[in-house]
Amino acid sequence: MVHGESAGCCGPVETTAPISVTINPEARVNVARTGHRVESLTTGVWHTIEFPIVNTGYVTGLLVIDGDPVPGVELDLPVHELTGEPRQEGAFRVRFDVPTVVDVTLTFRAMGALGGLAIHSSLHLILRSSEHSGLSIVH
Amino acid sequence: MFQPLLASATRAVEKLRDIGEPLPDDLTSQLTKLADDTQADAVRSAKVEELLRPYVLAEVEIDEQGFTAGTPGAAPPRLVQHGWRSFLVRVVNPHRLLGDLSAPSNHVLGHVDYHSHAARITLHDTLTVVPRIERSWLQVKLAGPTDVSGLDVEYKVISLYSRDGGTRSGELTFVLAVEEATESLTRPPFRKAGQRMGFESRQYGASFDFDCLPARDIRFDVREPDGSSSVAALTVRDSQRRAYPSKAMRLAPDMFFHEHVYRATGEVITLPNGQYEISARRGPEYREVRVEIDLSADVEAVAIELDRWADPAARGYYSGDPHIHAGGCSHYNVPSEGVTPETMIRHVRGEGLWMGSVLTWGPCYYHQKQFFSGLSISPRAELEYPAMQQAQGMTWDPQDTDRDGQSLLRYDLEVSGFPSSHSGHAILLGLTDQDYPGTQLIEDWPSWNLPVMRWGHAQNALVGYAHCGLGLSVGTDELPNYVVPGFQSIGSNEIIVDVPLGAADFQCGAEFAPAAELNIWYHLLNVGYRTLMLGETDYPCIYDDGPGVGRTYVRLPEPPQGEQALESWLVGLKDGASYFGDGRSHVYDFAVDGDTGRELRVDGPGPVRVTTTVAAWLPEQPPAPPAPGQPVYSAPVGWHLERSRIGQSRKVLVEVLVNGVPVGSQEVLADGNEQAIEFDLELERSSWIALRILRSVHTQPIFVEIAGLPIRASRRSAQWLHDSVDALWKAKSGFIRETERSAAREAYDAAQAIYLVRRDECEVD
Repeated sequence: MVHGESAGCCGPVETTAPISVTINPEARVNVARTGHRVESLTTGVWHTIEFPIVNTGYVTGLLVIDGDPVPGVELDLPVHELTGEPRQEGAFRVRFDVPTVVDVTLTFRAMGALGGLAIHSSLHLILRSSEHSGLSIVH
Repeated sequence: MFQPLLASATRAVEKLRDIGEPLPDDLTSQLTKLADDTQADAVRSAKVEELLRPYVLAEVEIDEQGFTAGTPGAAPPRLVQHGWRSFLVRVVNPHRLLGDLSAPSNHVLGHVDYHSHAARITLHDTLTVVPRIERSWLQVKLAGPTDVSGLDVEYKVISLYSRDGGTRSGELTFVLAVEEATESLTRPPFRKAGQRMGFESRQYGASFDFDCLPARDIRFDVREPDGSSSVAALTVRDSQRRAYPSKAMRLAPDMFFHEHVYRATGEVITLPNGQYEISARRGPEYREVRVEIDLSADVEAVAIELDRWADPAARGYYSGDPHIHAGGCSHYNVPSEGVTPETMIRHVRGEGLWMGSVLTWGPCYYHQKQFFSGLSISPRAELEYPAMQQAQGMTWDPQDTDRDGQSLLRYDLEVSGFPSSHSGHAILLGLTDQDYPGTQLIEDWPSWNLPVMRWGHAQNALVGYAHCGLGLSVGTDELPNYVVPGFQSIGSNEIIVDVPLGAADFQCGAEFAPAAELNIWYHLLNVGYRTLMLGETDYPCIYDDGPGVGRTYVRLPEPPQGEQALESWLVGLKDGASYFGDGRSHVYDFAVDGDTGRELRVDGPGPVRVTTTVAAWLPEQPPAPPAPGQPVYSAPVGWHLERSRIGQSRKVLVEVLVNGVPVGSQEVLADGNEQAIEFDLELERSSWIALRILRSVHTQPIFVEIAGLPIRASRRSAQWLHDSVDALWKAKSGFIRETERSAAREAYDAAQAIYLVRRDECEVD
């Protein structure tokens, strides 16, 4: 008999970022909320949402973020180059045109592994903005 | 707030579509049109709510403290027995709290398996769980994301599974674990939120009178190719790949950690009408059979004709798994501390195994030891705990089959969770007494393995080490390699002390990477020891799939039968031909110069001829990559013939080894047919010879002694073993009782001294 869980899998990511991206040893991408929140987002200003990329699959190539356009908010979703290193930092940017609340779905894909087949993960975000607004994130 | 509401509603509707219960097409199209509608947000939001209202089973309102209140919605509460039905849940969150929503489920598993780390049996406040099982008829789960996102209104999907048919009253309760809750190391957020709600006297749940459409017993006519009856593993899935019976609503012999259930010819599974894919298998000697069936009202039985591709027993080779458990790990922990022999024999029969060694070990020791008799048994596969079965509605009659007598159990011992287990988990096979002399509690046992192994030998037991590769991985696939491992786990550890002192006979593996498992074995063989290696499963600890994931085939003059079946199997293992692996490839009649005996003596160096018959079966094509949205293909872990496939071909490589080094190889077609192959070798000195298909099968060696000289094939192997004893002492000595440590050190010293002598006797590096 073997005691306990197999090591090295699925533990929470240490970060103060609101979301984290993990790539497991089978190259499966998972994006998840971390429990940390981003404080206020101000209308008309670009805000950077950072996230760690924990890569236990040695996956290289592009990490692409897709999101359908949503009225009232602009998303700057850059392509990240996965280096295969155990941990990288990533980010995307958000800017509200008007004070509002929107629900945005983002899909993270690692294109270098198995051609992107089934190696993506989606997260939907509730983004709020006003003159003194806040952001909340839901997976 | 229209856009987030529409996004939430669309996600919920898509989830219902994805799990096979789509809402009407026109509703979906109306939702889509609303996105581009020019009416005011409030008007469009009201329209979304109006469209979804008929499909809402429950509304959940969250107050400012995060407490929930459920009320029935407009959807009729119609369920189906032994089937899933899904509905919308409307979440009203005027205080815009964030958190995770759950719907506690009163399923059977929660009552028969709760985690206790006590070594002794613990009670769940009652002596019997039968009344609780009877009440546990409804399984509930929220499908899809469970996060409450802080919107005023959002939609979730809830799925309900009814064990029973007819009208049943039930309640749905929702718990919100708010993110702001103080972290607790001992109470997870959901439990903490539920506890907070329990302090209040309010009514939180929504009550329903569910109308559950009854299901029917479908009989399975399982047949061997010759028409005889037997037990098989049946996996029943619907179009959404959901397994039946629902895993959380199972009671032994149907296990909640299996996709499949084991059924004998003529036994039943209760299923609602619907379309199913049923797959059947009886261990790796059978190809999987798939039947797609529409269970309409006039279908009462399903015929399953098993597809056997290999029959090692017809060649005189009888399978066994020396390491399966009836308690602990994935099995129930309490109250029964595992399952009974009547359940275990069903699982062993369903995997087509002749022998299954059910090893009692730490967590279930005090309960399971009652089943030890020192004899092999083949009980009827009765349903255990009749009152629990009755409460569960499992009233079917177990059926005997023509093959029942071909599978036997032998209860024995794994010294795991004992004071000495740090030095590797010892397996003792063929005990006549399983209580170490002078002990009353597990804690009284020796704190290193050698005394336990000698006690086993005194009973004529065969003793060795489990899951040999654990702790022996050194970061290379090279075989043999000379990197000394850290011995930081529970695999073949103290074996390097016990073998030279004559106190260990085997190690078990076929579970992990070959380099981690085989390296230590090859080194022991290279300095002249006759250590055996077996394939095992450690079911359900390392592998949950079933007994016989790793297995051992022993050639015997006649089938192992009767109370001494294990003993005859062990005699064959010690002295005769055997091989181990994943059961997807087989090596029959392995012989050197026509002799299948394990020991061969020749007069001088020179040529020898190795002959054998090999059979292996792979599908013609490798597994396909996953369809979009499906889980990524997960390569089989451990030993699996698929990992032996050469490129995209259907061929695998058979290698012949001399002293652990491949000296010849031949590709064979893995089409299931037997193929005779031979190798001509030159032996320069006394050697061991074996065959393998790496990651699928390995034979025991044939030992060839030339001119009466013992096998001393590698100085480096002897040195590796000597140095490994130092590493072992460094890792383990701190766990040995002070009172036993000097004796252990003496044994370690003696082992090292023997290795040095053998090193100096070796002719070559």
